[in-house]
Order: sequence, then C-alpha cells, then structure tokens
Amino acid sequence: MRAFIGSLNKRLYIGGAIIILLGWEVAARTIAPGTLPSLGETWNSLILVHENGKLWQHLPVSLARSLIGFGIGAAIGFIAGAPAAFNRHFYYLLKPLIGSLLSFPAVVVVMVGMVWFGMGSAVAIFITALFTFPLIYMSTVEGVRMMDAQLLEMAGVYRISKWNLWWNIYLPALTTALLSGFAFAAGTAFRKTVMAELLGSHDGVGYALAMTRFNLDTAELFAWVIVCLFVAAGIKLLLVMPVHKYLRLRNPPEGERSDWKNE
Amino acid sequence: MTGRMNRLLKGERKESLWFASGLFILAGIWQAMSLFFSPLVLPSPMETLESLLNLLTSGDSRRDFYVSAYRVLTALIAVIVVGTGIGVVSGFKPRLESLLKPVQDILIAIPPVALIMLVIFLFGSGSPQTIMVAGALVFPLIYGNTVAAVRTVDRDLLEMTGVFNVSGKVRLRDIYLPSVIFSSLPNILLAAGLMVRIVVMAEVIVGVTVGIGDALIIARVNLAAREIFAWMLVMVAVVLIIEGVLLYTIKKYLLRWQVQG
Repeated sequence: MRAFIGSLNKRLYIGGAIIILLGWEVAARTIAPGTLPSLGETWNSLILVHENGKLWQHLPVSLARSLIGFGIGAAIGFIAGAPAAFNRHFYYLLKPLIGSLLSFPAVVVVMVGMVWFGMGSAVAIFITALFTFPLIYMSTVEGVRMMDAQLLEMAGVYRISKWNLWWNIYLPALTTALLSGFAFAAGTAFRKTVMAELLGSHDGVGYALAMTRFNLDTAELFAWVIVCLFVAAGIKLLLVMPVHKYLRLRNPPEGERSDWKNE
Repeated sequence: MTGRMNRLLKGERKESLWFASGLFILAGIWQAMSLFFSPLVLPSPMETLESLLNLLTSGDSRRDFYVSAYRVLTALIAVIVVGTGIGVVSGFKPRLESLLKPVQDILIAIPPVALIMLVIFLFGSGSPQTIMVAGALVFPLIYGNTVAAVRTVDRDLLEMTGVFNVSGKVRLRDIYLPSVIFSSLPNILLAAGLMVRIVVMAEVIVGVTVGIGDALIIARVNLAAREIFAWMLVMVAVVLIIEGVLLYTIKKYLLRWQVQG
C-alpha cells in the first residue's frame, strides 16, 4: 500500500476528500442553493443518465474514440521514436515537428480539425492521435537513451551476439519506455477526446457536457464531471499504477514524472 | 581545451543543420499539401504569413493579443503566489499535503473543458472566470513542484545547521529559499507555456468579447482557415520563445551555477 500513495497518509487523504464533499454539500445548501446542486441531486442525476441510457450511449463512444486515437498516435510515436533514439541526426530532423506539435494549442487544432473533417468522430480521433504521438515519441526516445550504459559497455566487452543484445538489452529498454509512455499519455488522450467532442461532435461525453450548458442542467453537468473523474481514476488504477509498480521492480525508483496537462 | 571546444561547436553546428533541414522539409510538405487543397481548407505557408502580417498590423488583433497576454500574466502571477505559498507550507507539513492531495488529484484528473463548464455554470462567463480556470488548471504543477522542492532540500546541509545551531530564520533564507527558487524557475516557465494554451482554450469555451479566443471563434465562423493558421503561428512562436529559448537559457544558467557551486 505504501507504493500506492508513497509518503502520503491514507487516512488524511480520505479525510481531505470527505472535507471536499462536506464543503460542497454545505455550499449547495447555504451559499448557492439553486445554482450548485447538492450531493443528492448530483447522485440522482447520475442515476438518471444511467437509467435513460445517456451514459451508455456517450461514454463508450468517447472511450472508443480515445482508444483509436491513442492507438494511432502511439504507433506513429513509437515507429518514429525508436530510430530517433538510436540516430541523433534523425532526432534533430524530427525536432521541429515534435517541438511544434508540443506547443500547439489543442483548441486551435480542434478548430482546424473541424474545418477539415466537419463535425464527428474524425475530429476527436485526429486530435487524440496528434497529441498522443509526441508524448509516446518522447518517452520512447528518453527510455532508450536512459538504457544502462554500463550494461551496453559490458555487452561490448564480452562480445555478446546481436540477437542476445536485442533480446536482453534493447527490447526490455524499449518495452519499459513504451509502458511508461502509455501510462503517461492515456489520461491526456481521454481529456483531448472530451475537448474535441465538446466543440466538434454530436455525441460522446464532451457533447453531453456541452448539452448540459444548453439545457442549463447543472446537476447533470456535475454527474458528467464525476463520470470523467471515474474514467481518470480507472486509467490510474488499471494502467498507471500497475505499470509503475512493474517498472519499479525492474529499475531503481527515480523521481516520478509529474502528470501535467499539455493543453 | 580549444580542440574540445571546436569539436563541441562542430557537433552543435551539425545538429542545427539537421534541425534546419527538418524545418525545411516540414515547410515543404505543408507547401506541397496546400497545392492539393483549396486555401479555405489548407492555406499555403505564404498565405499564412500574409495573414500573419495582416494580424500584426491590425489594431483589433493587437488588442486581442494584449488582452490575452494580460490574462495569461494575471493568472500566472496569481497561481505562482498561491501555489508556492501553499506548497511551502505543505512541504513542511506532510499531513497538510495528504489532506490537500485530493484537490490536487481532482484538478489533474478533470478534463479542462469540464472544469471550464463548471465555472461557467457557477460564476457565469467573462474575463475573471477565464483567469480563474486557467489558474486552477496550472495550480497542481506549481504546487506539486514547490512541495517536492522543499522536501528535497539538501539533508546534509540541514543536519549541519542543526549541529551549528543556525537560527530558523537563517535556515529559511539561506537554505530553503535558494533551493525552492532554484527548482521553481524552470517550472514557472513550463507553467507559462502551459498557461498560454489554457487561457486561449478557456477564452474559446467560456466565450469572451476580446482576446485571441474570440478572434479564433470569429475566424471559424467566417471559415477563414488562414486566420486560424496565423493565430496558431503566433501562439506556437510565443510558446517556443517561452519553452524553448527562455527555458533553455535558464536551465543552462542554473546548471552552470550548480557545477561551479
């Protein structure tokens, strides 16, 4: 359990979460009744979107889009990243492309995407792939660069076979890089999909969020925000934490990369 | 010594040559693709530059730019003050850190657009709301880094201050402060680059009457792809100046300091 939250005090963590919920409830009842939905109203709304099928109409669409976009972006990122990690010239050749992709404001790209593809799935998948690509590319390059130099030297000294070198040194390094890249980029992929849907789609969680603004249904908005948080938690529990746990077994623990948003 | 310097310079020159060819190829692909599509869909590099010049000379666009820049700076200063302040306290009090971790986790996990919608519902739309959302989204980055900076202060140095009975004030001024500033500077630039993108996104979704976000919405309604591209160039340039040039310079400077120190 220590690996789960590091140095954090689990009881205080839960306490903090309870304080947020309590503060929310109190604010909903006293400061802004009518504007801020209470916990009960939000829960009812969550049940409602589950029962009237909205949740099961929009959530799978968003998940499928982010998965497809993520897959495409990750594949291109890996295919471009592996050679760039081994060849410095290629790395510098790609640097302008990666640099500009990383500095693109997502919302502007969504607008360009809407001009190109119109409204629909294509925009969301395009945006997700476009923003997954540089993240996976970078973690592939970094992962290979951090490959144990001593191990490589030893491999050179003992003249181990090419096959052995690939199977026992290169391949594990690439796998590690890819896994940590996946863990890093998965949350981003979902957030990008939701953003693209909000502006340029007729279904998906992002569209549902936009509709709550249209209908002025605050309780439903909160319900969808909670759905988004559940997806983020699911990604963390099912992908990020197992990956980190697995990597820590193989590598000495190092500073964890902070998961900041790249908008 | 000079031989080594020469080799180093040569290596750098070679790298920038590859970098420049990468840039050239990119522009070439853009130009080639623009030949196949109408300028309404994909404007050519020249058309985009032309549109960029129009933006730079038009008073309205310059006003949009300044208003957005003002929002970025306000949000950035606010988040640096609040994030560093709370971060330092959390750094010293691990219990507070645990207590605040859910807030941090929620702000990291929530899709930015969802937070923007929340703010619109609760506080309406406008300029202060844009600044608020942008600040909240960048907060975890500044806060988390400050906590880490306080935690990783040189243990040996601290132990020594204990042995020599150095006062708390001196310890704060001569050990904690330099250490936090040292690791915060690159991070603040990172946050600034992030802030530019987040503010424009918030402007587009919140709906403001002036600002780059507003200019983008108008360009999209008018189907003026070249204007969207021109604004994109402006933002990429700003972000590259912050994250590329400034960050690189500061990192180089800090690293030099570290080696000599």
